[in-house]
Amino acid sequence: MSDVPLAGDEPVLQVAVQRRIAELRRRMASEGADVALFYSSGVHTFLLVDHVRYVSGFKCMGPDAIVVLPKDNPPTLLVSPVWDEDRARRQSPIEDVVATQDVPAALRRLVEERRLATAAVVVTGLDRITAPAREALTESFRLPLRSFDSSFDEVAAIRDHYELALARAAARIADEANEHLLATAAVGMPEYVLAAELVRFTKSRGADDNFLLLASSQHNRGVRPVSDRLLDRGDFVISELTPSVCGQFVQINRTAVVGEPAPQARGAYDVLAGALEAGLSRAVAGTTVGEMVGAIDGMIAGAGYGGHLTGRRRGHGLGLGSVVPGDLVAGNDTVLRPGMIFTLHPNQYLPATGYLMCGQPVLVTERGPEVLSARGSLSLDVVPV
Amino acid sequence: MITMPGVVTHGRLVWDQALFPPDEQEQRLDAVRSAMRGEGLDGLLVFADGVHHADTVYLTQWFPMELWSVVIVSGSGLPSILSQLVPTPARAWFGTSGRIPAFDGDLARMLGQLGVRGQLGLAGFEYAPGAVLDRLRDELAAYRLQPADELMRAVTRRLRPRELSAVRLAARTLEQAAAALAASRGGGQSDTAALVEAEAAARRLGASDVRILYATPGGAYGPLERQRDRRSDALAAYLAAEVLGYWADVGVSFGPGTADLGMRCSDALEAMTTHLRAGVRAAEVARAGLASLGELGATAARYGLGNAVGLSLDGRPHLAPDSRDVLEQDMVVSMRVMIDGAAPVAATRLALIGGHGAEVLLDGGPA
Repeated sequence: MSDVPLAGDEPVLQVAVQRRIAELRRRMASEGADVALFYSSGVHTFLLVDHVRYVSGFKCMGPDAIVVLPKDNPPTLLVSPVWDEDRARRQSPIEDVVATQDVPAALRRLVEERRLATAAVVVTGLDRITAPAREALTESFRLPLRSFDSSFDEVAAIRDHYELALARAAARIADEANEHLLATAAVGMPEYVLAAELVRFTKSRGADDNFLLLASSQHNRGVRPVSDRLLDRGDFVISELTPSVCGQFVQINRTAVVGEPAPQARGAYDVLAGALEAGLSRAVAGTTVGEMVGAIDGMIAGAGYGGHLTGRRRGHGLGLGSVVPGDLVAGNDTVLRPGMIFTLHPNQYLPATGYLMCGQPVLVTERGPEVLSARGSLSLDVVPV
Repeated sequence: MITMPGVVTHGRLVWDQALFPPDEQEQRLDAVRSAMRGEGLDGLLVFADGVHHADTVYLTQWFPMELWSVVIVSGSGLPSILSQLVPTPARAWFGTSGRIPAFDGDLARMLGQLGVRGQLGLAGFEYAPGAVLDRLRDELAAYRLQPADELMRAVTRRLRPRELSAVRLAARTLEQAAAALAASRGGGQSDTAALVEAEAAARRLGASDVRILYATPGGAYGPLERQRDRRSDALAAYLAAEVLGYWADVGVSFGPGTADLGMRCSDALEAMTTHLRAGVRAAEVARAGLASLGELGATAARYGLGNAVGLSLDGRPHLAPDSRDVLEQDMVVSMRVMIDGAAPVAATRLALIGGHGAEVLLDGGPA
């Protein structure tokens, strides 16, 4: 049974949510906002923030959920469907929970009842709110809605103790999942059966979800969703193992060969492992993402593969909380700060081997980068046959 | 049924050309084009994201993973896919492809190249970000845009024979999942460990998405989110699986006190089944169930008494007393009675509306 101790009704989450709300209120005050709205559509992607979850601790099922945060009064959590009220009350420290079949309509009523129509309102994720929900927002408030995204990102970019504990738990599960992959994969096994086993394993260890991509081929062109391809001797099995614990995702990128790999394969992978180390050496506070990416690309180009650089991202943030510093690409000027989390992955197509995956979850600290995976330097894994 | 979507679907995401050969897709496209002509549409844009993609799968056998994508149906040729991650031709049925629109004239140009002018239908855009819809409307100001959700629903709500095969496959997958759940319970596993085994069983058989809601005594139904060591005296679970794009669901219940309650739930399902015929209003089916349930009706109604399933797990019509929808032949309907509280029970019946009444595809209830 998993040793993941954290559940939504734990005091740790309550403290975290209270701190977050307090900090967000400070930002609201500086922007002259009376009310902040946080929206989730129930479509969960770890590459974007779940604003409702961050502010309330509650992961909604959809189709809509909104947190209404007045500057002075207690927040209100609007959720759907109506029978999900108990779970919202258990998971979220927010006491005022309204469960309804129609969240946009409930918002309209709430604004009217609490006379918020003339409030100065800031909203997160305006560009992602569905049209029906946005209509409810714009019709409920008389003043134009202003984006709160920058302020939100400022608050959420630095992970709190709760998120860091979750991230470390998720990293442990990811490491164990990779070991399980190596022990479980077998010639003749369909990819989707291997994926099923990895999902089972990570959930049995306490993960609540897993952004799992896995591909196998003698020569992969890229990672993809699993198919019914049968694993074969000599295959490169590339994977993004991305379990989440209470909504915090962590990703490791690994490559395994079914059977003993050729020396040139090991050599090729070592190039990426070296590029990862180069990137990690720049994963320090004060460096920009672009500089970190430049170190990776420079190492790969220096190994003679400059012609195969495509400008693909070399990693990304890890939601469901903040996804700052965003996509790790050359033009990203985001300055790394202690408390940021991301996955750093110099995954790369190489002509001799195909696409290889090599990546680690990283926490930026005052003392430099901390790799959240227990595994040190990466090398090509082997599935014994 | 509303359930918790995962961050990504991962399973046997393939275009099964043995089950859905190209001629199946051609016939589907013909049906959509016929409906388009009826509405005077020169083209159709179909929105999809990683969770809401029924119409896209119907048209192309493609399962989008990203935040949003668009399929274009023009007057001739195969559908076109615009997305961040374009599928390979082996994995989907489509003609041209491209990146998701940047709305710098690219979408309008592509429509022009496909010969689409005049009147354009939009389907699935209720799930689209409002900002995307705004930019689309701005770019396509030269077109007359009209909603096309009902158009797609009219085409897809009656399942084609091969689609029914996929639903049956999903149903058989769930039988195994339910058996795995029962075996785990019998083996002494905790509530959540047993549910994880049920999900694994479905995925090993090729399910690409598995949804679980469960209830233990004293609690409401909720998704499987955290592992706990607890093994409750009673456990009720709602399991749903998507196989090759098609959904089936089943309820399973364990524990003392579920037998009698289960009988009442089964009686309600029988009552609903007797009304499950083409031409009957969904409301009539719901009322029959509620009448049978008596005082249990309020609890059951909270979770809903059922709905049509197929490419969507939460399709219309919904079996609700105020529904105005009419049932049609070749609809697959999931009927359910989910009771929470001291003795939770989940009883379900998946049925196909045939020419002479309902054919039961899968029953679920107290084990």
